[in-house]
Amino acid sequence: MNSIHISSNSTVFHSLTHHRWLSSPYKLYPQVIKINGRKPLTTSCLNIDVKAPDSSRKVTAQNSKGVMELEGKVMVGTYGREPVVLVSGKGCKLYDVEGREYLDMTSGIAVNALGHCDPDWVKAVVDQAHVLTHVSNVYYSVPQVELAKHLVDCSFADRVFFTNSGTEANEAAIKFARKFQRHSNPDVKDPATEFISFTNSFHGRTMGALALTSKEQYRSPFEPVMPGVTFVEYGNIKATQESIRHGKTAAVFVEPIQGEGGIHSATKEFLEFLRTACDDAGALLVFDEVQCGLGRTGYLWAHEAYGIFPDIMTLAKPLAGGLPIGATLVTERVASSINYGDHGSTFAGGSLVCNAALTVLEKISKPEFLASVSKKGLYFKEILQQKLGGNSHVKEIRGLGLIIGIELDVPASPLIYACRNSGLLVLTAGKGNVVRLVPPLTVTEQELRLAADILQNAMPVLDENNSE
Amino acid sequence: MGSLQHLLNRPISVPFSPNLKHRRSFFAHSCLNLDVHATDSVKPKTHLKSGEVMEMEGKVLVGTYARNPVVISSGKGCKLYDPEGREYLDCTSGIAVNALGHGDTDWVKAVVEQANLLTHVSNVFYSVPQVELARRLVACSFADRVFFSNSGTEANEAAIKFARKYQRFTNPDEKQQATEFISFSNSFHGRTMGALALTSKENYRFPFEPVMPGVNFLEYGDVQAATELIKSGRIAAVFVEPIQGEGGIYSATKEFLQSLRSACDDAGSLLVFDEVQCGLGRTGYLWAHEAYDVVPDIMTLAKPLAGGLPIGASLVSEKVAAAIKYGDHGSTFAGGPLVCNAAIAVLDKISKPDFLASVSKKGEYFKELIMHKLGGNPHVREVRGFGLIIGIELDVSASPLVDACRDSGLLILTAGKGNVVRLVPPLIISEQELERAAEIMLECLPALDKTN
Repeated sequence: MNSIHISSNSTVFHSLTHHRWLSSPYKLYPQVIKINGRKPLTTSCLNIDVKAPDSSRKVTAQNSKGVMELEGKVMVGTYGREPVVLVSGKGCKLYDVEGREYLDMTSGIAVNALGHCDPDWVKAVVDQAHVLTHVSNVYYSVPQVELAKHLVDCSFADRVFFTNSGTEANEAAIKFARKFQRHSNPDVKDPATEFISFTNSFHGRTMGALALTSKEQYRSPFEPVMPGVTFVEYGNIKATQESIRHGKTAAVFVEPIQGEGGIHSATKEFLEFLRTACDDAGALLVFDEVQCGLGRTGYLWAHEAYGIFPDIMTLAKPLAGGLPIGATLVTERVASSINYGDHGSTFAGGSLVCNAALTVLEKISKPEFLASVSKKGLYFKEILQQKLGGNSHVKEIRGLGLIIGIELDVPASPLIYACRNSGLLVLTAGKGNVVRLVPPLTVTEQELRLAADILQNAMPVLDENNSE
Repeated sequence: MGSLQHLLNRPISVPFSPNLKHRRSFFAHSCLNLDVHATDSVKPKTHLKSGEVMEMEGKVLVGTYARNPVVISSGKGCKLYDPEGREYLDCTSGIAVNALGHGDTDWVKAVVEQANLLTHVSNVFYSVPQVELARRLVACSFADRVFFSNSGTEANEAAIKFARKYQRFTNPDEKQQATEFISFSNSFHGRTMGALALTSKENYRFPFEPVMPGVNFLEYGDVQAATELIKSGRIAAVFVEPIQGEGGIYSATKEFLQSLRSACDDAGSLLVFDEVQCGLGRTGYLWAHEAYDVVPDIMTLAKPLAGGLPIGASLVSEKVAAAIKYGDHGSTFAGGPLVCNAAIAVLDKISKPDFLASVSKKGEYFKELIMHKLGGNPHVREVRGFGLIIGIELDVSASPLVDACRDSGLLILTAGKGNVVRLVPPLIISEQELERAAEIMLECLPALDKTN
């Protein structure tokens, strides 16, 4: 059954594939070969000539350079990655192929809240992997229901919808909001379908969440995306007031603390205004806490710091300790407009992922844990202020709990680079001039001191090269 | 204590009855963490009975799923068990996900090892399992490069974006760039706003309009309509499932796929094969399109790839990849070490020629058995499919049969308009288990007459 058919009027695709399976298992640098003067088209599949990949042969783990080169050959070039190949981690330490150690102030972009290889988390994963991983949502399973119950018990929400990522959680919120509007206004010919989102926002990369994401470069190559989104300046009450319209606006999406956008926190006044404006307009208020939720701010939910409650809250990143998960938490009022078949996912709510998440949630939601995040956050901000605040490039140090941004008046990349060379991993945000610090929530004060020291010692690099 | 002190002058309430609608106007909801006892909630409550689980689900989950009334708490190979210990033979594999069955030893080993090493670092950095997995996928497919995602819908969203970017990149000066798509009747590509726009079932799209614009639906198999529309030059890409799963187990003809391939080549449109369900050995070929000798520009995968962990992949040719730049697309979780290490274990097994041959053989055997045992029944219109994706089309709703089978310890799915029985067992299923499945279905057929 597995034969190659090379049909008579078209031949092999971009020679690299042809050459690849005839000569070596590795992809050669692409060359286009024309055969019979025609553009190559492969009509055969390659599998019979390729030996079943040998799993015991980890050819790429020999050195960092080899891995980076291979990545450059076999992955679509979407990521401008830092030149570090990470292979293992423990707590807040990460190690590359050569065994170099790094202090992790990125937690995989605010995902590894419990650090790497937390023993309870590992146990939850190992235990569940031996029991049951996935059955789909055609059936009931226990960890999913347990996790939903815990989330409902410790939040404003009445019900949960699970997904596999933050972007999927926001897509669910989009769908729930539109369905809610249709359901609550069944006689209205054109129910409210529009959304308001804000400048410097980030909600995801799939066509719905992407439409809510303000950065134009992220959207314009893929137009037309989902219609109906208006962008308003984050924090601008007057402009928002003019844009929220009864009968038009289905929901307002806002991050209580904008992460990718530059670590900008909403004011209480702004969120209070949004709550009232949504109530008046019959629109839903959606808080995207994918990055700032789940203990990151020292509160379990960032919105607790403001005393304002949404109709929908989206979560993801740290929820399952590094495994793909998302969750859309809703009030009963929103949930009651959703029927069987309206939305779904094959993988979401799987037993293994949810069991991992139960451990994470259980740990993070402990009062002492949250209190320690608060305390460490304050401490970190203080020492950063002390050590870096005097530097002329530092415009502002802001944030809450363990999501901290250091705004510079120049691009942060030289600083990131210098820190990495000194064994510290940090991120950027905003327009590339904000250093974003989102360490594991289990980071120690000693590690925070070390991080601040490394940052301080690396600051001179910003003076060496100021031009773009 | 910390979080409570910071709440501003609001009365704190303990939850709350789910019936209160405007609850939030009156109460501040404090987090219950103070009241949660640590030790009780670490372990999943395995002592919960089926009825309790189903009831709890009805209270705390958004009601999107009309689930079969079974609580599955463990599994091994092709057997699943509920909390009461009842055993079920699994011919669903979690909707074609558990290709290696439940608790495959090598898969578990890969997960355990990697969980003790490194689970996630994000794509800001390089990691090894991701690159290894991509290398293998490239080595055993038409593709030159891979983009990882977390699900099938995300894989199709990436394909949508890559196609539009490709068109803009290859025709930068054109006023009217091709941004539209063709999709087909009975298609299913996902539930997020882009993939949803490509999914034909109107009930899935209508409540959420306006979705992503630019999709044209044509009849699956209609060579002429497709060729004509592709010629218009407006089409960025054509999305097609070589075998439609959710839609009813309809296989494309070779002529149809070949005509799509030629038309796309002539017009500069891209051909996208959605093999989320029919790929990765399900048909007895590693890729369903191998059976047709037609190769796409993009192929999307998900379901079985990581043996039950969330993953998706968009495999592309170099010409498509060349159009994509840093920052064009991304994902925080995708390509994580743990998920990719699990996927390597799956891919290594599935891609072995003997494994694939055995899927083919078992598929043929199963179809024969079903034809033999069920083919004579007046309700059975057709038995179709190949490898281990088989559909039994009935002239009535399949639900009574599904229910009866479940009561007899067999789990099966439906497809299409609910009148097609969909059989997608783990690819490791034994012939004995297939015989048993066919036997149970035969015994349960009378259930179809009761309601008629």
